[in-house]
Amino acid sequence: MAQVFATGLAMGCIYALVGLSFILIYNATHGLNFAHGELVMLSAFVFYSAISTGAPYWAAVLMTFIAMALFGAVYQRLLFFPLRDRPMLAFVIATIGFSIFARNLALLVWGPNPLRVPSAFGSSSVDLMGVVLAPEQLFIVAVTICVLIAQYAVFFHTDLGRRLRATAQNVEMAQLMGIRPNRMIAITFVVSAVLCGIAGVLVAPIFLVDTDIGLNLILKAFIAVIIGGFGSVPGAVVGGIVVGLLEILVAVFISSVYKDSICFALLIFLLIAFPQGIFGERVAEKA
Amino acid sequence: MPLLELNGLRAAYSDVVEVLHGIDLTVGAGELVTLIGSNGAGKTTTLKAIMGMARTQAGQISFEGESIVGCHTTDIATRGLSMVPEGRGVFPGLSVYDNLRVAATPWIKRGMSLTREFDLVFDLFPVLAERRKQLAWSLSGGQQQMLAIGRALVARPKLMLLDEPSLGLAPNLVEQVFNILVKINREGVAILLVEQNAFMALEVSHRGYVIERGKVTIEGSAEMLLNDNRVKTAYLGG
Repeated sequence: MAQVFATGLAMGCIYALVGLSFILIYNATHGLNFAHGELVMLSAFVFYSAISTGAPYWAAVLMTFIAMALFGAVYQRLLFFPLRDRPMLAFVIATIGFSIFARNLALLVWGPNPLRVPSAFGSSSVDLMGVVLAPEQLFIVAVTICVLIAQYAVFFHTDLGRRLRATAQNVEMAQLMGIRPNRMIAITFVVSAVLCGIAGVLVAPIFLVDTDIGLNLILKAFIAVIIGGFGSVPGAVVGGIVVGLLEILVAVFISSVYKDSICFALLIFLLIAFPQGIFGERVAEKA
Repeated sequence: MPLLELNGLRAAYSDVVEVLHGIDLTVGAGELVTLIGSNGAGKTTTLKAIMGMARTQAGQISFEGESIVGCHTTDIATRGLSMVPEGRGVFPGLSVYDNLRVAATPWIKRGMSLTREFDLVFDLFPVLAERRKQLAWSLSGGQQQMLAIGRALVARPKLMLLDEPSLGLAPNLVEQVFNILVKINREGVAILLVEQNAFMALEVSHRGYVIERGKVTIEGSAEMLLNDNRVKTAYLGG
């Protein structure tokens, strides 16, 4: 049972990371980046290629992060920037277009066969007070906690973080304070893409990497974000863990065939019962 | 040379709707100047045009002798002009301290110490010091206005633009806000004030302008405007 919880928690952390990076962009631009899953997919593929060159694990991770940071900047410049004064729907549609493009690009570059990325921990296991756990799962949870702490520290205790939050809350006022909103938005995209890079590096060893992994992740992350209350940071984290646990419990006790449908059923139920999500509007305004 | 000079300023929000049809106006260093006029006359647009937030179609805006027409709002704000917009515009999800800190962005970037500015603001508004960790949305309207003014002050402006600072405040708070503006002005900060409350604004001002339908119709010393019959009937309640 503890193993089941650990698996669910680890998956939940991944959803939380993807959800978190998704709402970073939403909070800064009010745009929904529907290519977000593809960002995770691309980083998983990049990570695979980096590992395949024979580079050590940490070097491959670093290469992936650098690639994703650059990608985030270019993505922002080419997809968001030209459309920034248009209705947000234009950006949303562009991201849908990009997600199709990215998947086909990945198909061309990395081929249709699912790729296996070796785990950094081999097939060892950790014995924690009589419970046997995969080190991979502990690692995922630990990394997620570190990312959350780092994100909190940056956003709430540095001047850059204050500027990022101010820009997300009121662009016009931010300009009057001598802040450059375009630069803040570019930074947000870069941070978000690197978070996708972290998620990609973490999922690559536990999934087989193919062009569809992004779709599954973004759907679950989207459910997580909605359950938590759209735009809320703690909401995305709690929502992600709820979805991760629910999924694994359904898979174990009912059937893995039904796990997606039950997740969506929960989403529909929650939308009817708590349309604001667990951490409703007020927190969203604060985040 | 005046600190701020507008010459034949025409400004608009789109290509179609011109709001200002040639405004001439100056604010000298250390001066407190009031713009009065009815709703829709173009007072707010004048402030926005100065800050680069409305489109200047013709005419000249110069600050310290340099043209700032076409400059980006961020750059104008960095030159020593700060604006307190109507509705205060505090960042609701940032604490009082963070709101002030963000306002000092240009100075933080240059690595300057802000102790003096923060002391000054907390001195003028003790309530902000008490509530420095509170999120701005949870402040009362009056406290938000103090925060908005404090925020403009932290940016060490040479000229402060204020749009309806007394709007929606209780009468005793209005008086407090005006007293504080006078104090700030005595510290050497020039102020360009837009006010519905024309009487109180002119009482504390050096000079004033009346704007009607996008043009300056009357200008002069505050004393002269307070005694002008047209101003009396139209803006001072007879």
